[in-house]
Amino acid sequence: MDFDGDGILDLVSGSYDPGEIYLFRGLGKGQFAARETIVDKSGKPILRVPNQKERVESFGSWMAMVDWEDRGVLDIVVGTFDGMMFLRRNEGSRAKPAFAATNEWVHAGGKPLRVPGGAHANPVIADWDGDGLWDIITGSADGGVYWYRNVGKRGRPEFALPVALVAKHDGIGYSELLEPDRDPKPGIRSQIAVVDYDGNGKLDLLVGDFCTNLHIKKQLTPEQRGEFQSVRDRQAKASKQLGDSMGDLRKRYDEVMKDVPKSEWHTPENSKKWTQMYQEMRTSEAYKKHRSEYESLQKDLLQFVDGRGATMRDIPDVPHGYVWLFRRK
Amino acid sequence: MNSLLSISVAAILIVFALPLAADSDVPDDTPANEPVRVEKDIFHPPVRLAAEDGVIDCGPSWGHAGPWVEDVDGDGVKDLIVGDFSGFLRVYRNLGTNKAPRYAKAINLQAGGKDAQVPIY
Repeated sequence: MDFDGDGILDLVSGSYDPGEIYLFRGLGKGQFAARETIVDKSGKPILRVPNQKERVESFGSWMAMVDWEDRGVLDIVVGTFDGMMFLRRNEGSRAKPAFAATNEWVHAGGKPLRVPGGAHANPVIADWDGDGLWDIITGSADGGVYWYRNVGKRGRPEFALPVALVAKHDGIGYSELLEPDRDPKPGIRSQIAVVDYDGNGKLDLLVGDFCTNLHIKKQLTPEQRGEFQSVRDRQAKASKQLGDSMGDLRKRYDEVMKDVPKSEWHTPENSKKWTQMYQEMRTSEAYKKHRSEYESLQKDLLQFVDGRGATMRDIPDVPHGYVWLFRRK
Repeated sequence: MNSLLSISVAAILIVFALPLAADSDVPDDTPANEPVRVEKDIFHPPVRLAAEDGVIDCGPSWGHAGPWVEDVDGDGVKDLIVGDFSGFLRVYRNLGTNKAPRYAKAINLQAGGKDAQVPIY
C-alpha cells in the first residue's frame, strides 16, 4: 500500500487494542520508519467511536484504502470488531491526506453492512468479478469469506448483499478434535488477502485463520476412547454452566441498565457497575465450583491428547494460525 | 509467552464480557447480513502455505494469521507478510518466483530500527 503516493511501499495495519490504525512509512528496499498512528484532520486517532468513553468501544480494527469517489485520492475504510465498516473520506490530497473526523457507515443492499457472522470485518478492495468496479471482500469471525459486489457506478459505489466465496467454518473453532495424521480444515476469524497468487490472471484468496485443536494421540484403545469421550462430555457440561452464569449476568446487567441510553454504558460509573457485578459472579461459590471442575477436567484430557505446541501449562488445546491458499479454478 | 497469553485471554474476556455500546451514530443492533448464496466449486481444495521450515503456523503467537502479499524488499518478487496475535509482522521472503513462490524462514519486519509491532493489548 502506497499511503501517500510517493511511489514507495508503505505498510498500514489495524490493531486489536486500542483499535487505532497505523502506518509504517516506507523508506524503500524493505526499510520502514517507526510506527505512526493515522489521525483525522483534527489530529485524533481514527476510531469506531470517535468520542469514546472507554478504549473497549473501539477494540478491533482492520483497514483498507480505496479511491471511493474516483477523485484521485485514497480514502480509508475501517472494518470493526462487531463486523461493520465505516468510511473516512480523504478531504486532503493524495500526497497529504486529511481524513474526515466522522464515520460514514457503509451500507449493502440498503441496510447497514454487517458481515455474516456479525464480527471481525476485515475489508479488502479488489475487482473480484472483473467488471471494472472495485468490490469489498472480507473475512469474518465465522471463518467465511464474503464478497460485497459493487453494483453502483464509477465514483458512486453501492454494494449488493454478500455472496459467500468461502463457507463459514463448521464448528466453534475451539477445542476441535483432530485425529492423528489428519489435516486440519480452515478455522474461524478469517483474515484475507485477495491476489492473483499464481499469476494466471484470476484472483485467488489467502485466508489466515485461528483454531485450537485437541490432537488425539495415536493408538488410543477403544477403552481410552470411551474415557476420553466421557471426560469431554463432563467438560461440556461444566462449560455450559460457566456460559450460563455469564448469560445470567448479562441479563441482570441489561435489567439494571434498561433506562440508560447505550451511549452512556461506558461512563466510568456504569463501567464500574459492570465490573462489580462481574467480580461478584466470578467469586460466587457456585461459579468457583464449576470453574475448578472445568480446570480439573482440562488436566484429565491431557492423557489422551498430544499437547505439543500448547501455549499454556495444563491446557490440552493447541492453538493454530495457518495461511490457506484458495486457488481459483 | 504464558503471561502474554493470559493477558490476551483477559483482553478477550473483557471484550466479550462488555456489552458493546457506542455513539448514537453507530448503527446499533444491526443484524448481520445473510449471504445470498454460497459459491460452489470455484476453488481448488485449500492448501496451507509453507516456508523453508515447514507449514506456516502462528499458533505459538495465539494464531490469528493475517496474510498479505507485496514485494517488501524491492527485489521484484512478491513476499508474504503475516500478522498474528503477537502484533509482530512476519516477513517470508520469496526465494522463488511470482508464479512459484518459495518462502524463506520468517523474519520480523523492521521499522525505525526495531521489530515493527502493532499493539494488541
